[in-house]
Amino acid sequence: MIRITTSTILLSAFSYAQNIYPVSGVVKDRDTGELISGAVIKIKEKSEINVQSNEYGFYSLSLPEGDYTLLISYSNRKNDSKEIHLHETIKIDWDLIKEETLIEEVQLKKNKTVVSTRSKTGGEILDVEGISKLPVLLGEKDILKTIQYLPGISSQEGRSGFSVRGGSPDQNLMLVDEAPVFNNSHLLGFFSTFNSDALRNVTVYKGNIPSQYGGRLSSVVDVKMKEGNNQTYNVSGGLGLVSSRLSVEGPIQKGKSSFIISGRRTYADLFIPPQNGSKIKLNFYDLNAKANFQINKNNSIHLSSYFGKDVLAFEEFNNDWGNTAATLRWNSIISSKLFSNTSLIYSNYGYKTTVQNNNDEFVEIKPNIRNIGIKQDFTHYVGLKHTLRYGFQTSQYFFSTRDLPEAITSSFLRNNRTMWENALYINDDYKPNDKLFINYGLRASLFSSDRKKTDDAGNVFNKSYFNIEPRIVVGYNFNENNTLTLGYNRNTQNIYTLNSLNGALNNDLWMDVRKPQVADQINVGFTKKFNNGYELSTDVFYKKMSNLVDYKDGAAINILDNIEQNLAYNGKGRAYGLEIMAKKTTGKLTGWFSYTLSKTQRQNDEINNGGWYNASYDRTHNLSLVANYQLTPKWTLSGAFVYATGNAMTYPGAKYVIDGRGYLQYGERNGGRIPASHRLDINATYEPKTDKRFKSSWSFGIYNVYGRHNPYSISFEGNQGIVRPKQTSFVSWVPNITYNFKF
Amino acid sequence: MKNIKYLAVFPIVFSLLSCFDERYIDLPLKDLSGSIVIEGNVTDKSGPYRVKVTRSEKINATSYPKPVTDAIVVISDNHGQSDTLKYAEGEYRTTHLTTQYGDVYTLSVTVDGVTYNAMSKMPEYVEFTALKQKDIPNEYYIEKKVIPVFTDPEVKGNYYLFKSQEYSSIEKITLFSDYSVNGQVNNRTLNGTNYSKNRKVKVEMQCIDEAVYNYFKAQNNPDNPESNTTVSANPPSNISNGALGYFSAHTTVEKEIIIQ
Repeated sequence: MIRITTSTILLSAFSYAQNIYPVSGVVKDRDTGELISGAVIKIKEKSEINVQSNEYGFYSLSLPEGDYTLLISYSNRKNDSKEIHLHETIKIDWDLIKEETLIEEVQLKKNKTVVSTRSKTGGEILDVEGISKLPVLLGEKDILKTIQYLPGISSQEGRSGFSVRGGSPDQNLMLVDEAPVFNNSHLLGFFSTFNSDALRNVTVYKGNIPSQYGGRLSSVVDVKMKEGNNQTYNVSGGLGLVSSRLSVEGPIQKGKSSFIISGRRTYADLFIPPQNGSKIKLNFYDLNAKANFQINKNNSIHLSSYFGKDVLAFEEFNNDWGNTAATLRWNSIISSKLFSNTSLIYSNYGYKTTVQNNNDEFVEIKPNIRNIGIKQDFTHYVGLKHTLRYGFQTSQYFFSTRDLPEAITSSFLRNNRTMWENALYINDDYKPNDKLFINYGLRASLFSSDRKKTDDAGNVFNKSYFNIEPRIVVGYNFNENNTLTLGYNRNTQNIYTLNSLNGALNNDLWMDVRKPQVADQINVGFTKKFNNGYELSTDVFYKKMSNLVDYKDGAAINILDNIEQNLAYNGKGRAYGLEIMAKKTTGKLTGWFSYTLSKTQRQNDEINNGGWYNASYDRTHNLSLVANYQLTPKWTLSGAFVYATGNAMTYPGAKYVIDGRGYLQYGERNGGRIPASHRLDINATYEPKTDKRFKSSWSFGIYNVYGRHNPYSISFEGNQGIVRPKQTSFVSWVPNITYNFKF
Repeated sequence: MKNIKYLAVFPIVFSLLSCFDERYIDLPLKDLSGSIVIEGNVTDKSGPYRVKVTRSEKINATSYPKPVTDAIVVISDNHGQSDTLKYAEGEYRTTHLTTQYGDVYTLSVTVDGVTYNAMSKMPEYVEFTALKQKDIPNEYYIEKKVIPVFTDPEVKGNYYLFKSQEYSSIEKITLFSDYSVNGQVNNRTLNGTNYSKNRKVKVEMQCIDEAVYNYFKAQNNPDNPESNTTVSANPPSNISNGALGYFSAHTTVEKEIIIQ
């Protein structure tokens, strides 16, 4: 397939009479040496040609011999241009200058804040610096909380994970420098695992997921860590009420190699008084470390690692969990048209938790998931109109429970399981003319399991499954300001989580599927830009899923039992919705409004009498309003308002007595709804302007300003026969003060 | 049921982050009251066998469900035997029905023109050999538990329900299947612990069929109806037409043990 496409395209390239030469290079930030991905390079003389730097900052384009002016643009960076005389293969590297510095120097009145930009295939690229002034809980700026302000993405307060276009939280692929991260939350979901100080940018794909990504049905959150400043040493950090952080970055060899180490620690438990004379431990820490070495002009090595751990302990109860992820990457510019990235990937997520066995004794179990893999990716700039991405990915998953006490006989916990995931992919970014662009490709994925073909319930599965996942996006620019995109996408998924079900499991438990889950999505989007920095985009999507797994009706979950007997396989899912986003990107007031109207349902023959039922994260309305106001050069105010329909939940509608005991009579699965939640958060940042090297800022904020009692959970409590719904919520507002510094 | 300790940690943790708040609220709950609830048992002892028919109550009602008194209740078997039950003191009783191991019994309850049917097969008899005590020492005290001794038959698919009660405390239910221990002598302990010395513990052993086992397995913990470590749903009933409850043809043997 690769060969055919390549040769066809090469033929078309050769049909030009003139000699064609490639121009290639790397885009970096001038002050920090950080690679810039997504910078757009255009040719003044040939407006139909434009390329974007890839996620490693590399770009290449091919032109007939001649004189040209190259133009480059990227959000928050000064536009730049270079004139070239093209008569041989040439290398043009770019060092872009931050626009912020420019404002100070030139005193431009025009202020531009772009928190998220949309790539042409529909990925939302978030600028980590751009979010720094948004309000957050306890002053921790948090990229995963910020993406929840985007349309199509919803979450519940105080719960980890989020739902993208009606998918479940385990259908989101979280990548940190290409390594998957299995648990994305700290501290019961109030913080995400990603320390924003260590991040360069984050790209979120909700629909048109390019074929180099795979393995999850709903979304990809691709987090890229900073490389570290290769020009000067920098120290930055912050002191907050419940957490502090510190980052150090600098050159190992100036301009050639650099490192960054970034750490965070919370001390929330210092403020918790002992309960029943017993101290409560509740904290987390995490560490991001990265180093890179430029071996020669065309080759570089990057080593990234992440380590995080949460500790929760009370009396004899323990619940600790941690992620470890590491990637060793080799970037190679093989030729001026071919860029290669080779990655060795390791990721581990495990936890240690105390559970009570049937004899009410406390036992400790340590479920664990480990992933080891290799990814080879090529970016191939074939001609004037085609850019190919192709490569392969192979990885193995290990599911185990280490050091299991002998008394535990559950064969589910005793038997370790392994799983292979292999994929070959290719896609072509094709620009037939300046109005039309097409990205089409496919991913061939192979899943193999070492499990028995028949499970305890008598369901029969194959040992391996092969899937072809076609993907296509077609975009049409009516003019510079109006773009229409159409996309179709198929994705498969081989691992899933069993959710904790209100404490039945202390943590989400990762499982290997018996049969890959499959999702097909179609979506249509329209973006319109207006003159004065306004932008409006709307999207409509429909998603169909199969082979989903859910708990059976009335299943009693206990991790020490054979959990799988409680599962109903072969579930179907459907989700559809409308997303609207309006942005204002320039001026003193910037921000956006996002609204989602959607529905997501599941069906399984063994659940709810086979009828369709709402997924628990089915939220009809979901609205966010985010605003940033530059009051004075020193003061920035920001606010965020969110409103969302409550999660779907199974409610009882009556009670009855059997054998002298009272029971609740339940209605259909997820047929009820917990009350809607809404909240306003505000924040003020004071950043004195100084020419000195030492820079500092203060951030003051209030979370949940008007103290809304948003439901965390609903339970039903009987008192002398009368059963009443009881709501548990985090009430009232939470203040925060954070002091940030940099030198 | 388990991990109650862990659930208790949550409020404490949240009380730190903000004020943790719990309150009764009004919710627009769909009223499902009035559904028929049937509780029928046929045993290997001589009759009369009893069937209770009630209706589910509004969730905030203070009264106990009242029995349905005008139902037509019939139990028949696979040999042509049929018995129309008579109502007395809140329940329907058989008049002449006799039972045998391995026979299939059909319950039919007609209320307001709607008929609810259920079938249950009385399992073969399994001998309840004895009760023995098991002491499990832990850090602070010795836990005293009870093991029902019986030998599971060679053939697969045996299900057991135990009701154990100490003195006047709440009856505990324990369910066993032969899923992982087929054909073995039982050494699993019953639910319920902290029995005091010299106290008498009464245990009833029932051999039940699979549908009844699944019904009780999925039933929420009755001692604590809001502890939802089970997926909230009505347990799968073996009665048709959406009635709640169960119909069980089962064996029954009782034994007692004095805790040492």
